[in-house]
Amino acid sequence: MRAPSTRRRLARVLEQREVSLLVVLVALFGLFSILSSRFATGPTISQILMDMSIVVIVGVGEALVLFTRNIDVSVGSMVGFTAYFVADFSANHRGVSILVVVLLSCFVGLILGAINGALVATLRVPSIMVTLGTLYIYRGLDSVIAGSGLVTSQELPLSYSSLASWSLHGLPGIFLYAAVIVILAHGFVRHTYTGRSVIALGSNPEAAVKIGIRSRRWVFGAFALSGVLCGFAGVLWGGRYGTVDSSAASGFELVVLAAVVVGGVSVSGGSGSIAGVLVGSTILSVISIGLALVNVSQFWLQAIQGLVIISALILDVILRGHMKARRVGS
Amino acid sequence: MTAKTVSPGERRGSLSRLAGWVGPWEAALLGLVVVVLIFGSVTSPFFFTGANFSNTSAGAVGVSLMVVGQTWLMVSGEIDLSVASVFGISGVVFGLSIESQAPLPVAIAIALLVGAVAGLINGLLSVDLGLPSLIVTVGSLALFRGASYILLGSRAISALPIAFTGFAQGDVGTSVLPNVLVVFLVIAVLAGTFLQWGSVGRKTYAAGSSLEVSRFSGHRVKRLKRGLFVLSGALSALAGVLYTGYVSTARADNGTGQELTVIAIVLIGGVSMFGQGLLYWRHAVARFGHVAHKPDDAQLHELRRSVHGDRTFDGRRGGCAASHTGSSRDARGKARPQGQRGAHIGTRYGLCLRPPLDPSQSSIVIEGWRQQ
Repeated sequence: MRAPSTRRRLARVLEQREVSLLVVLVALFGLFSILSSRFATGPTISQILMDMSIVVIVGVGEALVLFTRNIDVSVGSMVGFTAYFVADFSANHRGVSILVVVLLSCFVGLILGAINGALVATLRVPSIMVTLGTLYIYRGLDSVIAGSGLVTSQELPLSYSSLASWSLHGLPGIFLYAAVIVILAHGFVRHTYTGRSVIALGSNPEAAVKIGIRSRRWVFGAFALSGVLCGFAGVLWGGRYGTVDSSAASGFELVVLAAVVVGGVSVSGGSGSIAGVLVGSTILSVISIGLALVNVSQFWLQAIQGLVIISALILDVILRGHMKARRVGS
Repeated sequence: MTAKTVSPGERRGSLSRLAGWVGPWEAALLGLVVVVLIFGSVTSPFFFTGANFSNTSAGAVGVSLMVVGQTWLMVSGEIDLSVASVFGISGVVFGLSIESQAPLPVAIAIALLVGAVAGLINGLLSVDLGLPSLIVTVGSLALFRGASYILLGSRAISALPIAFTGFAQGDVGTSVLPNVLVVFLVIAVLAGTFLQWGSVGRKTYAAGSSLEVSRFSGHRVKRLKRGLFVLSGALSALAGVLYTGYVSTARADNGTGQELTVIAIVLIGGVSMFGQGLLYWRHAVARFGHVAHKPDDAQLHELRRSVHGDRTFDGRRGGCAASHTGSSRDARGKARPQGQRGAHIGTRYGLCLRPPLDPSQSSIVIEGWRQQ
């Protein structure tokens, strides 16, 4: 095999979805910096990082599920359920160590995710059906245990709220959790046999099975991991927002899905990267914070986010088409 | 979203006569509806009354109309998550038109047009640009909902013509049958009949069960799907307008979050029928018609065989038609004819499976495994 020329290598780098996304991100960042003097400052940036962190954490789990050519739309309910469950537990057992609380939350998430995974992997029911069902079931359970109850930040022990509010040299702690998860997940997907198997599984399920990849096991694993990450996000949710009721994180699944997809993860499986999830969430966060700073009415926010999602998709098609045309031409 | 075509001859005899008549899944759903009705009647004296029927069925019409368009789309292998946002924006546009003194028919027409255009946008993006509709419509969900907020803000328009709200809330004559339910039934019956009997319906099933075969058969799949997106948009708009009349208020947040309810109903209905237990008869009709339409499925199957060798292939959207995975034996362990071994298939996203060049070499070459 001939070593690729520098030009080719450059083309290959540019071809990657994350690079075009980074260009969009930088452009947005520049635009908002010009429009508002308060944008490119420490507090705003740490606000953006805090805003995106929970989306990133849940998004990593969602991406793993999407890699296997499945989808998990129950993430919002899983986050909501664990958020209330753990906040309620913590408020009633103030003496319990925060580590135990976090582990409990992850464990509850694991159970919820494992139920999804078991249904999808063993019964072979389409994942959108299973998780649409569990979206309602988990939210229903949440309403049953919460009723009209509300856990406020006053009821929570100090260690609980400081879980999400500490910072290191201006970097919010909640973002550091997200960063660690992203790095671990990225390494897993890119550099381990199991991670590559997950991608192969979504890329071509039949072929993956033929070369000996245990498809059911990894589909189950992806859903279970998604559950664990939702559990972790749930405990952070209480710390970040202070108040938790039975409607916490409802509709969050669409936010996560949007971020993951803007980040270039394909819904038809086998394509995308964890780095993309990070960039995608950042873009959506930059837009929402940036628009607030330049005094655009909140009514515009949703429309502009929708426009960004669609533009990201179109841009991707154009860029890929362009690259392909150039390669064929050369 | 693979569309399940009904094969009428299957599993007859062991099931009850009713099951044989409308299909086992539909019979089970019907049973469930009966159970719910009995449960409701036992637990509340107000449940099994004409007034309650009138109220609940009129209230459900918004969602039910969206289900009709969604069913067609999902049978064709696409999905529209933006229905509830189209529902919202059409109500808003309707309210604004009324507010700016437009006559009632014009206002309704404008709202329906907005819905159709919204559907066309979805269709152009997902069909013509080839983007996955699940994602496109997540984007347009936010876009259309955002547009309703831009247009109306947090206001509400309640000054709607009495003639219209009276229609949307009223019953037919002195019966307990709501007017809007009649509208829904007419549309659903038409849509159900065309889906099962019409050539458009059969083409929709064909497109959903295999895009490639449909294309090879000369169906204009793109035009069909684009049309279905427009239909879904227009029906959602009609639903939004009727709902606005039913609650006498146009608000930007009408119908928020209903898209998942709609999808759930379609999926519970088994995709092959309308949910909510309102249209069992469609399959009853399909039973009458199945003799005439059986050849359709058989022809389709024949075509698949001719295009893809002796095995039917995976018709899922975006899926790789891995009918031959490069091994010299197929799934049932039968040796394949020598001539087919050169095929290079299963290339997708960097994972490339290639049949061994040397027949004695049994491992599969994996190219680009690390480069993904």
